[in-house]
Amino acid sequence: MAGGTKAGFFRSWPRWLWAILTAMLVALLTLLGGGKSITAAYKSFTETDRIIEISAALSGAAKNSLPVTLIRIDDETMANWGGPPITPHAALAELIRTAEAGGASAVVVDIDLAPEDATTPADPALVDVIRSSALGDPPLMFVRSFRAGSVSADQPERTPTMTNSTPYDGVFTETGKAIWVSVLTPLSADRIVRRLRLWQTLCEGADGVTYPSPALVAAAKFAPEGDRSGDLRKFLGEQVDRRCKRIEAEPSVWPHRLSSDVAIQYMFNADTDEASAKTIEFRGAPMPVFKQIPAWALVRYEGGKASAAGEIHPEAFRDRVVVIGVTHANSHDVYATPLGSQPGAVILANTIAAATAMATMPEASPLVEILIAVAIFAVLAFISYNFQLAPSAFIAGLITVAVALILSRLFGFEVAIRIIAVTLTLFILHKFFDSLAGIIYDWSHGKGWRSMLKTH
Amino acid sequence: MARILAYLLIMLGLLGTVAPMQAQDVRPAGYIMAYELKGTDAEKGTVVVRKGAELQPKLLMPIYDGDSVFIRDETSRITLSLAREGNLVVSGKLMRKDIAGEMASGDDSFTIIEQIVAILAGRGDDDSFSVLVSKGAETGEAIKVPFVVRGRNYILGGGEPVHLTWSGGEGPFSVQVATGKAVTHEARELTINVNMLAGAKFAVTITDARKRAVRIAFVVKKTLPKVPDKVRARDTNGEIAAVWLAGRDNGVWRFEAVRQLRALPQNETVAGLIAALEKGWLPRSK
Repeated sequence: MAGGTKAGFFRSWPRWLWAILTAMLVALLTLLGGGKSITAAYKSFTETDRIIEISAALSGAAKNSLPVTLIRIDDETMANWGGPPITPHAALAELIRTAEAGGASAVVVDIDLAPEDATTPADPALVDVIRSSALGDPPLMFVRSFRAGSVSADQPERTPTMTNSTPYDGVFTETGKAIWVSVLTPLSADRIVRRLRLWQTLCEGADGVTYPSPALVAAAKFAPEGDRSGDLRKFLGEQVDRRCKRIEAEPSVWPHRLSSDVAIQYMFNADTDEASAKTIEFRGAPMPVFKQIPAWALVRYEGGKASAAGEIHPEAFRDRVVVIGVTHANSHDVYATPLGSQPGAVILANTIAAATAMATMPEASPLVEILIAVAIFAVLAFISYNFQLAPSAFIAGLITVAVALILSRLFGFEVAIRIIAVTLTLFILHKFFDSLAGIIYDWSHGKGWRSMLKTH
Repeated sequence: MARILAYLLIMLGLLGTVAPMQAQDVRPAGYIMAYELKGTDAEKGTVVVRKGAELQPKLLMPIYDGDSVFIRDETSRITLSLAREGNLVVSGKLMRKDIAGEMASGDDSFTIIEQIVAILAGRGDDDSFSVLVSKGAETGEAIKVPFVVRGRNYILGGGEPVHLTWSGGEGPFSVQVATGKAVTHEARELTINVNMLAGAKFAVTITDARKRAVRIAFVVKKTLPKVPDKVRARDTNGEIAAVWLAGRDNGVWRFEAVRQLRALPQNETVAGLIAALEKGWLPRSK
């Protein structure tokens, strides 16, 4: 009975008193710092990179992820190797040999082989490793360094990009045991690395060459439906026809892409290790998507000579793509990413791990984007029509977040954010015109200017 | 209304399908990172017991719960990297190690929720690159002081004078050290003889012509933190110890780490480390 009396007491309060009380409550919260926290939380949530971070944490590994191990040439390694100015090619050769002996399914070397002095000869140990490589398919991949050309996403391949020649060019051509790949990451306006160029075409008159990214090579080789390496070779040839020869080619069988730039699906950062990496199923076995190990643990380098630190376990890298890259401070190869600062080699590892999802990520046409936006808008409008403001805002918020996460995985975060922005704009316009229509209706039914006042 | 709620539940259910199924398997407890077999061990060649069998050591060989790693000759040495215990050396002091436990993974729900809460709480703000920057007038270039961090900066007492440099700002600069008188000069550098100051704490306040100010707090310590044996073992001249020092306690030792690096024989590695620390690099300590 007492409860009924209390309820009756509150019911007797006029509506305006409730409005004043809630306004006072909000003012009190603001005074206590709540406003700042809400603003900070809102700002935090609306940042694109937060959505990416949450998406990465929630949805885990990308579909058909590939396991990657990074052999990092870090500060400890350089100190252990006696502080050489650059990565010694003899030590690199020994690392490649170790990766192959450990059962690596592919090896990507993210170290610039172009010498500062053009007369520097090729290191015999590295030449020997390339010649004797047993990898075959895909062959050893070396990241090619480019100079000049634009890597702007807005003006792709605007200027003639040139490759830096290396003393190993001849060995690559002669043996066919190693290929050059490109790792170009167009920077966003805020200089954060969010996209990868899956291939890069360089033209010399009507001739040219298309360098695939390691991610594209890995996506082709380890495609869930079977080896697509043949389709990739055809596709790369078509890019030369299209770009250099200006011949219109039929759409490729694989990959179904017109744009070379794709959103990177980050799954780990520089701090991730085996114990904190996501687990994926690969060839029927669960394994961590990412591992990393310092190079000094595998290879010794003294007096200009490299040697294995011991016999490698034959399954140390089994079924894993091995990336050999520099992370030491002197490399200055560190970039801002949605998951914090990362060395270039870790970004490369991310692109390979999510290679299949990235290479096959559908390119949403403007029509598809609009249709999705309209569909989500219809759901939000339906909810706002049926619910009061508080529950409808809560439910619409949940749906918006869920849709943003799903779309970011389907089409990439940039497309997802664009769709959500269009949806919310549509929704706000709808609420505005709905209110305007109500005013016009009431006015025309004799309410006059009072139709603009809220009814309580 | 119930139908609407059902639709909403289906929508949220869709979200759940994005999360992967958790894979179940035995994970290793760690790996063999290095080995050096001497005497009897070199002859026999086996140092791991697994389910009754003796196995040879190999680099990156996984070690599982229930395994034993042992040596027969006390001069042999096996370095293990264990998820729960970090790096562990089986040598003359510890000739047998029974392995227990397994490596965690990043898949469990609690970890995922923890990650999301951390992201929303702002953990995503990357602090690995930080340079102390002045506050005040918004126009013009701010005063940037490399190597130091906000809050306390630990330095070793009794050594060489502290040399502080900065960039940006507009001269002349008014510089106040501890409670002393503010001195005005144009140069963007300052040398402080710590031994002449009273007390174990002091602050330096730099104010430029536009009233932009930056305050750097120092704490004078009698000793450096003890460098772990595993760091010392890999060090050649002291670079790794300095990097380790820079990453301690969110960078409070970074300024001192640079002083240590500058005292070493200068080579490309040392120069690269100083350059990275100047840019604001803060090695992450685990």
